Amino acid sequence: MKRGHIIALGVFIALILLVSLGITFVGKVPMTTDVRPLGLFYLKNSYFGNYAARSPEVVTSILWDYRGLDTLFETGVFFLAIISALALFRIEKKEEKVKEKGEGFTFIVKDTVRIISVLIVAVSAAIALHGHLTPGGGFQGGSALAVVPLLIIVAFSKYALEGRGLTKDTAMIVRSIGLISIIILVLIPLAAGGYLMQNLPVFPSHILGQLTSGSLVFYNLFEYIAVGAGFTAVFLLLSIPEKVFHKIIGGEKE
Amino acid sequence: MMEHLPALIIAIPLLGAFAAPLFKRHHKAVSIWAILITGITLIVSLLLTREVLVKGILVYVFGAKSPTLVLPSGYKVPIRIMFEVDALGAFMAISATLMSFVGALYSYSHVAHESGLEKYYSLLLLLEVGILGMVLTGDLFNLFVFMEIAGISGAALVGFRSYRGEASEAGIKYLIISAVASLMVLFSVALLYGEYGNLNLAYIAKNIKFGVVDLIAFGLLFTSFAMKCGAVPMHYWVPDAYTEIPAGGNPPLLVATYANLYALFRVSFTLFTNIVINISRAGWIMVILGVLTMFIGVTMALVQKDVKRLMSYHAISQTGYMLLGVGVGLTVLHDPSKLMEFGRDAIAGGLFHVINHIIYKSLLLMTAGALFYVTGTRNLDNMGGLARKMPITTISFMIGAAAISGLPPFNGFASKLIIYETSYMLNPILTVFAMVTSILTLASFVKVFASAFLGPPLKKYENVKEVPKPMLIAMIILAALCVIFGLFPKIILDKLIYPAADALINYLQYHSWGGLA
Repeated sequence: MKRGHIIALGVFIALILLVSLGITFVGKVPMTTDVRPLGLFYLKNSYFGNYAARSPEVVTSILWDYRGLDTLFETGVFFLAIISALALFRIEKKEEKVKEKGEGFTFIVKDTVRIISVLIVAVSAAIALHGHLTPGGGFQGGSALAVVPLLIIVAFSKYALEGRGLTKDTAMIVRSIGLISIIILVLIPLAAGGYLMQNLPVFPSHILGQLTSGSLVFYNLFEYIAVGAGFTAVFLLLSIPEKVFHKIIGGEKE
Repeated sequence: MMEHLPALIIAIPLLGAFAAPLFKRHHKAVSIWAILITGITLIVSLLLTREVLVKGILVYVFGAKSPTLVLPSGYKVPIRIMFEVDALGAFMAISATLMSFVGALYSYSHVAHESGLEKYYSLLLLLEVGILGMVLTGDLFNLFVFMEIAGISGAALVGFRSYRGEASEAGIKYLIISAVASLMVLFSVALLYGEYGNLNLAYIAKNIKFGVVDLIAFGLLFTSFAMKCGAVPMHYWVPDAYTEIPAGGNPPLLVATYANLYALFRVSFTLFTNIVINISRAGWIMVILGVLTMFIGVTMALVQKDVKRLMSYHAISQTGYMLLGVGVGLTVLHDPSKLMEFGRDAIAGGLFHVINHIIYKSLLLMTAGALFYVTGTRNLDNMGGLARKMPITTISFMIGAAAISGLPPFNGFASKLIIYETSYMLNPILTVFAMVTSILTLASFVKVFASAFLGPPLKKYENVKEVPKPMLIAMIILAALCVIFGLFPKIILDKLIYPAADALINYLQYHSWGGLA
């Protein structure tokens, strides 16, 4: 870094600090210690009351009920990020296997990964499907699920996944199915004479005596599938060796 | 079903985008899918506009019937996200859906030889979703979410030809600009939420008190939207982005730029309008930005040799006219006599120029894309004598060039005339700048016409043929619109533009959710 750059950076940081201090003290940002009226409403009405989402977990009821549209489109942003990455680094030709010498990890690592993977699938499913009861939800569960392919890539190789049919393309198809299911969930209330993204009373709050909080459990389920598959696709993309990209797309080398 | 139109208009392209990756390796099928989806969305937007013009502001609450809820403490707040569609939003929605349709149609042939088309169309449809969400939403945080969608999909489209180094660089530039702008918007939304405890646009606008924090939020919102609509001095990303995006993506990307302009207008007119004294100052800032933008843009366009880059600099310059027109209206917003005398017409002129510019600039960029399609170059020095080989492209270019230079009887003349007349009422110097810009624009397009289309036929282009039919149809649609809008400006103004201008002026209507509150 040149000296001028350091000075410029220093001035910049000082300016930011100055402005934020200015906003705090001169601008008199209201520093409320109470819960805001709107927040109070959400807290009180997540499970009880006529406007409730029938979910004891306030965050999930805000995410998929009160501000469901934002969450739907944040899902869209995530879809967009991954499809952009896949579009910019698209490899349409069949990529060659890059053979490395050596025997890989010992059986200790490989067997541990086999056992842990099953456990992770179970835990992540629990995080996602209990999203309306306890902290967690589709996105968190899906991110946890995506640890499984990541572990397999590290312990075996990405070709172990692709050899069993889990390629980027299959992951994207699974993802699209998950997302289309979400859109169908959004549209279902129309058929029942309700409003888009409506939760209760279009969806039943209990199924077979189990609390499902209307549509929340379904949103979490499909989000879980979509996010898990999306992360898998991007991990598979990231694990392609750089020399393959150089060969196919071109670009500068070090 | 009619009441659900504001929601369906974003649900349909979103479904199209989510489903597009399923068409892997079926390139024809995914192109037709995109044309179909954008076509349906266009019809929905026309129906929506008819509803809005007949019934006034439409409010759509996601997940419930009524926008507000009275708490037991008597506190009346909106608790859900809502879409609030007024005539201005509907007008932008028509522009967005029309241009996405034309872009998809043009792309059918233009990118047919590229790989990864299902991703291209997925991005194109998401760009449309982002624009539509931005112009229809009535919620500040939601506006940020849609801005993010439009920004990221636009950046990915700009960099789509990733085997070209320039495309990757342009994509990264656009991505950084979008990220900075949307983070600044998020920050100011957080400031406003911290102060008023709600995210609903109308609710905040009604309760705004205008302290220092609001001033900072206004400044940040104004700057970030001005940055993303390519106003000088934040225009540097425009030429790169418009040049490198495949020409079929140009029309929606143009509308995405003007969706940010819409947000700028919405914030200035609707959100911060209760500031009686300072809003005219903001109007003057907008006017001066507009004059600078139009003049600097056109002077930089004059020296360009790359045909798409040249047109992109003109796009910057034309944005200046819109800022000038609407800015003139904003300066006199709280002065009823002046508003009636010329303010309302100025706003209408600025908004009319938005749609006119979207039409003719898309047309021009698409003819540039057609030149690139047949010659493989964008350098004007290497072209020549193409008029005889490509008659329809040539005529489309002539119509577009005449429109952008403000020659009668094309649409550019209609809106520029209104802007000349109204800005003259505010200050004659503004009009001088606007007219000089227009003359320079004409000069620059004469140069393009002469070097690309006229002159002796070049040997290397002996076997050149006219571009494929879908591209021609897309260009003919827009050329026809240029002529129609130019010949019958009164009908368009009365049916579409003046209602939109009135929607900006009658902000109280927006604040009350169209009378629901």
